[in-house]
Amino acid sequence: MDIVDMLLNGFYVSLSLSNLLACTVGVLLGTLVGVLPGIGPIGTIALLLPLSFNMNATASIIMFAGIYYGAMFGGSTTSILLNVPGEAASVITCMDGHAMAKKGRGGAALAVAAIGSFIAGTMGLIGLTFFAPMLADAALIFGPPEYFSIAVLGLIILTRLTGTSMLKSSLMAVVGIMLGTIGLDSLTGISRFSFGIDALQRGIEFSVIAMGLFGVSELLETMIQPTIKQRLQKVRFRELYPNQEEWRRSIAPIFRGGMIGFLAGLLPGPAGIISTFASYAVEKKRSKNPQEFGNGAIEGVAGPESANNAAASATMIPLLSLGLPFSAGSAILLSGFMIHGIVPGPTLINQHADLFWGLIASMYIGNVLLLIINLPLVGIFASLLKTPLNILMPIVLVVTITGAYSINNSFFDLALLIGFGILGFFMKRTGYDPAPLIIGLILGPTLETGLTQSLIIGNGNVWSFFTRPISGIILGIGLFIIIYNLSGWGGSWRKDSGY
Amino acid sequence: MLERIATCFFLGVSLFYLFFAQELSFGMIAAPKAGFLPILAGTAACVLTVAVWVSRKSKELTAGITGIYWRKLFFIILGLIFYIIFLQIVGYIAATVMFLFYLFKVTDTVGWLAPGVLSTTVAISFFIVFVKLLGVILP
Repeated sequence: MDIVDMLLNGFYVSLSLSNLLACTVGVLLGTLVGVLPGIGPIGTIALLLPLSFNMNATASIIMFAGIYYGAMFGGSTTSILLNVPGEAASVITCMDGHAMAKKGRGGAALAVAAIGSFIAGTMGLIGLTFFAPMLADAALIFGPPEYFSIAVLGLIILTRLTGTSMLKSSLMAVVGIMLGTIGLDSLTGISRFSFGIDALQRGIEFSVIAMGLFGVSELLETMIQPTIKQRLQKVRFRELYPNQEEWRRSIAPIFRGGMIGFLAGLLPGPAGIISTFASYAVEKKRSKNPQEFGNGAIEGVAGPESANNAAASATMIPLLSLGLPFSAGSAILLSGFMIHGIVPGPTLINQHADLFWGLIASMYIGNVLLLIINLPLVGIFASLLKTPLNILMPIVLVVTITGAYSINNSFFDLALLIGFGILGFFMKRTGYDPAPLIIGLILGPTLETGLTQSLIIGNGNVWSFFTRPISGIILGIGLFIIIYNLSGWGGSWRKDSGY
Repeated sequence: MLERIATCFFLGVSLFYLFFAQELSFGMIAAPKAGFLPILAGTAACVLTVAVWVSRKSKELTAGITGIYWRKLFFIILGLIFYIIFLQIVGYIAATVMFLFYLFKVTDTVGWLAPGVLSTTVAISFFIVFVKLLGVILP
């Protein structure tokens, strides 16, 4: 069967009642958390992980993916109407989106954001449809050195792109690797760092850590804020039509944003955020009137909002074809797979073809659903902002705690959840990004297995990592990035100290 | 200040981890054992923490302690700790009613009746959803 036939089969799977319902629930929840400041898509998926135990694997993964890309759609609503980004990838949209809303063009900004998101999201999905199987085929020849090299390169690039200090990000990645070593060693069967605690013997539950670092910490951050009444810009349905000039100016940024987002999604790091800033910079540079940016330039909405949706689709490529999550969002999705005993990677397409193609097809359907529900229902979603967060957040916190308990029926997990929630709160406050920690925790076992197996096979020859062509090229890129950064540090140190 | 405390915390964690990693066998480069990666990772973490401490980049802008309402944060954390303890003693419904009511008051919800009714309704609803519909065993 060729790719088109398999995709058609995927549509057959995803159009079943349960999967279609899961997709609809996912995109609605995604839009909701995108709209509501205080809780993001990663936190939401983390909170819902335990609830998916009783769901069919395909349906639950379709739902989680729907939350992930749905949030990118919803995030623009609050940015435009309220000047408050619903999630991090919509920060840049505030600048021109809200300026347009203040000029009475909020409806046009919302429509361009939604249509741009749909077009670019579909571009990303077409890339996912054709690239993921090709990459998975290529990855079948990968051995331990290649997986080790990819994990190392992923961590190196990730620490460079998180937006915080590279040293802090590297430290967080290493702490994640350290946490990943707790429990039984897969090679020797020796218990490590368990201190006689049974709960630690089986290793630290990844989803509990993710729920703590992303979910509980976000809830704490929101709950400690004073209650603020939001001033919402009103939009009428008939205003949701961009004029001809606005359309003309939006088309090219939408396609450029789609391309930028797709490429950013293939790189490790917070692709959604990086792609929006890159797209905004490109549009501003290309514009004949750069002074308009920040004062309501529609290109400043069309480009970034398209880019973050394309990035959301593209981040699925390394996850589905290599089994390696390159962002916190895809790491959470990976745990959605693992909770159902499914390991993404090169063999996923053959072993779980229905799930793989059903998921991709559901994303096409979800994209259409998002366009249909986002434009007419924008008023309803915006009115959700009136929900008092001091009522909503404690309820969400109880769901989180109950969900975390239900994973292993363990009070120890609850202590971990709260401990990592508090840690996550202070980490974000002090410039320590939790995303590298989560990626380190996920990639740590891959890295350790790849390293130890390669060294045993190569009889301790470290050069075997470099003599294998694919592994050598990947590590070479990693080394280049490290040397480039070190030279940058050296330069700034010499400048600061007057040498 | 808060950033320095965080860095000290990670240094403490790294040293603690490295101390116990030393008790595991390192093996040889041709035959790595259970302590191989932990010792490397622990050492790297210690070096990185020291580098963060001395780095000039630690002066970067962070949210720090600005905007933290310590009183609220303290009472929320206290409530979380007591919730876990009460879950084991009085069971899910009673502990959740108390915890939710407490959180509503900590987060400045006005009145007594509405938060009371809401916390009771939510606790019972969640119990039904988790136990009856999702088959979860709750304390």
